[in-house]
Amino acid sequence: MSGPVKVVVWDLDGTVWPGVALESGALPEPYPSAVAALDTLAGRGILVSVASRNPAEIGALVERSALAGRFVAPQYGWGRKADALRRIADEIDVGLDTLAFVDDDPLERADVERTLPEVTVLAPHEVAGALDWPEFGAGPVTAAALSRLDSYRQRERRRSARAGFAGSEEEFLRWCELRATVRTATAEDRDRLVELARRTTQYNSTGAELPDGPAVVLELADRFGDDGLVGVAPVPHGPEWTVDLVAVSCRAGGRGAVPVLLTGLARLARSQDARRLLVPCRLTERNVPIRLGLKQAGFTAVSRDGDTAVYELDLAAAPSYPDWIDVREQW
Amino acid sequence: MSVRSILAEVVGDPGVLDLPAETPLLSGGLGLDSVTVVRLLAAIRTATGVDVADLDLDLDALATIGTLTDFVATH
Repeated sequence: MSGPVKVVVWDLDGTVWPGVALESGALPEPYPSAVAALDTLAGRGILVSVASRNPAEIGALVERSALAGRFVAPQYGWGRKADALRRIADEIDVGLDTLAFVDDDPLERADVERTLPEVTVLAPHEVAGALDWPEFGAGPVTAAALSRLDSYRQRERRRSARAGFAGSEEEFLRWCELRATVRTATAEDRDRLVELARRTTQYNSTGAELPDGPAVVLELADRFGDDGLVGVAPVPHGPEWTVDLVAVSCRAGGRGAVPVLLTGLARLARSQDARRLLVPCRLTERNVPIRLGLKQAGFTAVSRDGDTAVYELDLAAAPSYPDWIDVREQW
Repeated sequence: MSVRSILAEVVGDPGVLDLPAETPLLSGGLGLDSVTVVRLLAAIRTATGVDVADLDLDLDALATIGTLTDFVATH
């Protein structure tokens, strides 16, 4: 364990409170030591979440108890805790190596340790001591920690707005007043971009590391807030104008960001006299979302080699951005 | 298990069983988001053995309920 812990994920039964909530008929009083730890974490800007084998009804009870509003992206249900941790990292948009997991059940701890070795795993009695470790941010609350919470709340507001919005997806995007900047990457962007490329799976064409050299980035904002850097692709190269990697964060991909980034790339390539743009893409089930984005941007498959297909966009006509988004280019 | 009943289960709405075959799966129709599409394709692969994500490079099968049903039937 090296980097800072950003999210502490708690089991509930036997960890946050004694006994089994389902058998008690009501939520047991939480352990004072657990509440004290939750308070300390909140004060440090470290998020807390839940991975519990209880049904969602227990989650509803939690939200009516003294613990209401504390847990972000809580996961209830019978699945494996390792999968719950993956979903939490995905929803909050943090790396698995920034997660800590607290569970009283040694089997659950062992399973997470084995499946996700990058997660810090703790028994409940180890938590108080761990709060003194530097990884748990015993120190001033960082701006990054606060912005993480902000950005999580922002997504929650967007999600509930979408749920209450009667129109089509496109009408919703228009209402969100999406604004994008497509520009060349600077040296300061590099760390964030490498991380973005590694973390994305659904909106990732090849799973390759971000190569050194010039890249095109996408920044996104809407009426709910500013997401900052959400997409990257190395500048296409070679006589065929091939793009080795396209990576977009899942929160932006879900808002149609993939065709915007691809259109930016295509316009850049065309301005340099490319006739066509080629995007090799692995054919997995998990990255079907980026292939839907390629399709939306007008790409079609032209060849296949094993588990990779090459998608092509003809640049005879100038590609234009979707009309539900306001795009600025900075080359 | 038919493609329609898998679809109804994945979106959690039995009303899907009675929709016309021309109903688009994505925008302008059911409006499935990309995460739901991934779940749908995984469920179809498990139930029928047809791996749409692997076989249909351009994902044209995802146009409507009918195109997806036909694609699975012919593979």
